[in-house]
Amino acid sequence: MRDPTPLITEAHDRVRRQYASAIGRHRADLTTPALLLDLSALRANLEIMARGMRDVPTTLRAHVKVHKSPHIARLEVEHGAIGVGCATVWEAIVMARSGIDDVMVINEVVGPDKARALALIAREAEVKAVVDDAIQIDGLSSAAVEAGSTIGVLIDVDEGMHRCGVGSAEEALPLARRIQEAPGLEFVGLTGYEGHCSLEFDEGKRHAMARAAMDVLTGIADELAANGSPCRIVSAAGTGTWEVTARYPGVTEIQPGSYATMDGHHRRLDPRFGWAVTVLASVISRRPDRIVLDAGSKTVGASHGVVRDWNLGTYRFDEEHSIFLAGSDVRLGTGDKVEILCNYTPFAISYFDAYHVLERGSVVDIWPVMPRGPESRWLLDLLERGE
Amino acid sequence: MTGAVPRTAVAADSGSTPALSTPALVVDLDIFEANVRAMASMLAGTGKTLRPHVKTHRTPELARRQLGGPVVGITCATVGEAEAMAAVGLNDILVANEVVDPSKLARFVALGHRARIALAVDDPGPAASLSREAVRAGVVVDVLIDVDCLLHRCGVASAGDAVRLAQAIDRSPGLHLRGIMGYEGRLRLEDDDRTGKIGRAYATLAEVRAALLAAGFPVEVVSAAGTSTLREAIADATITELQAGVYALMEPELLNLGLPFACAAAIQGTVISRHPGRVVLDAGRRVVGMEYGPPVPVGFTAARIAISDEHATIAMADPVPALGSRLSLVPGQIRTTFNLHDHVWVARGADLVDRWPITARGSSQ
Repeated sequence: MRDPTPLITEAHDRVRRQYASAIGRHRADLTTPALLLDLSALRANLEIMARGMRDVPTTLRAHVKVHKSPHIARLEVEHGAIGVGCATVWEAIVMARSGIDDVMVINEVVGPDKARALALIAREAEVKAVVDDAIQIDGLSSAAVEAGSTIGVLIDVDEGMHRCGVGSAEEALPLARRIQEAPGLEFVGLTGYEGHCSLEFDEGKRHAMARAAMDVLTGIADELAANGSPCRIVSAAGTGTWEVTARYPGVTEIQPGSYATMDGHHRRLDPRFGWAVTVLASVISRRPDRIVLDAGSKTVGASHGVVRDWNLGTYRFDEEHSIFLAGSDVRLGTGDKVEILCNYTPFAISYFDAYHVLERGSVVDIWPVMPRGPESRWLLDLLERGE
Repeated sequence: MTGAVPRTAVAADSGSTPALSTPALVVDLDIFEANVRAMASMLAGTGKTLRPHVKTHRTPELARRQLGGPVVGITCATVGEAEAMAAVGLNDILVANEVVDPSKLARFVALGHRARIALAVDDPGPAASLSREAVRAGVVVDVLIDVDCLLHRCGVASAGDAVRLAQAIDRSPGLHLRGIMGYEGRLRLEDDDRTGKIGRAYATLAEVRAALLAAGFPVEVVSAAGTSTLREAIADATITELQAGVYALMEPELLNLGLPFACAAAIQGTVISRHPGRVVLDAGRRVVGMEYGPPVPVGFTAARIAISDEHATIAMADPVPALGSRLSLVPGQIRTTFNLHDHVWVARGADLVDRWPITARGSSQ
């Protein structure tokens, strides 16, 4: 792994200055709402995944869209990830500039600006993209030729989620040939995401669904190999299915993301991973039957959350407030701090610009959320300027 | 979702400006300005003033364009929002929310050197802290007693509590009791007992006001209401000031109220994957606020819209739009949507004319 570039170190310095007064403080003394990252819980999650990966024939590609953090991504690579997966070209630029060598945009890239951005960053790192249509292939090819770079390309397979992706070998084959013939591109293999399985909480059913999804993916890979387009990478899985997928014959890598930070949804799927990211909130109003916190759907996200260490019923989430039922037996008063455990942490992260990084309950560093986006065309402008 | 199709900007690849990169938030300034004018017309001659809630967009350039006519100042939800608005010269700011953290109170009173500032209070403890900070900063802060008139969130629950709190405020140097506020919450046309709820909320405000007056406290301002209860608040005798904010940008679920406002903001996305009967747009939950349901298509018909983190999967009739096509969606929840973006593109009709920072994005502290 290379060192992070100034794009990252300057962003880090910026948030450290912005939140300078928080550094060194105990969590109980922080201004709220604040996004907390418990470093030891994060490391524990990364170690669980690293141990799990020791016994399987696949490699780990950490999906960073969950946390949008160069610092967490680097820790994931230090814990054995071969590289990262991204949802956008902007995330890919940030990750390449974070010093990570293997960066895959696990999403369709459409439009000349984004193809150009990817082709430019492919000069600095090994970059891969995902397609499900000839138009995307042609766009990536001309951008790569113009930039003088090479982009690895995977075909996106619809494993049953019915979002992006091709559904059959008949659709995949002509795309593979087109990629193989396209200048500036290298055919790498297949990717798919069995996201529909992660909505099933029954483990037996979920694993059966994941195996059915892998049948589709590896079946298409076999067909491609038999027809002159062998797949070097066959990539799939999320935190809800990683163990099944990582063992499935024919799969070469998995791409989970939530295992690092965790949230309520994924803890129901795999409780071995612990809470690394939470939202710190204050009680700003104490009523006889309830407490009102200063973190609502504008900080926790539309999927809400619960109060850590207190078994409180949810009364309601508003934009700036969450309200929990708390009678006089609940010893929480105005000004007290609590942590909210988010049902889906990525939504919370999208609302913050930085993590308060905690060790033994105190802030040891501030890490940027980057890129905040969604529209981060300034990163392309920066590449165009040669910066 | 209602069948009403919001009139809004599909915008905005034409004109001399370069194509914007998607997903992008676009506001049609013509519609926004028409909404602002329509609000001024609604309030003309009523004697009510308006203090637009800018948490709706957290965008100083939009807030500035809501001033004039019945507008006496702005409403914010957080100290961070108030700081962003004061920085561009907005000089009459109500933070209609409880603030208890001493460091936040210190930041808040510091704004008193360049703006008239007011804060909602529902407890003597924070009122005492506010008083200490105001005295230390050498400013006078207006205080509105927050009344829980319906929402069961913050606010005092009885006229007796309000009078006791008023006595505490009255004894506190640096504080000026200006009146009361209460927010009755969003009341949709289809909500059960909508009229009864609004009536009870406003009766509570009237009762608290009367109790304070009887105890010898002035009640110069009774601040309440949102866009959903605008008509009822205008007709109410107690309320003097409205805190509506959504009216300027509008949300699809409020269109059936028949108010003179249209949806002014949309998310523009690109078709990144297409299949028979289905396209996938690069606009998901991380750019579209979903608290009030899925977004509404603009200028096209969708059988179903499924939203995941980074994608909107749209079921629609064949032939589906080409790969790379731009489609626009009006978010169900405009406020959380703005909070997910760094800036908003500004269009007039089909032309992009500017791009403004959402300065107070993430300013929840």
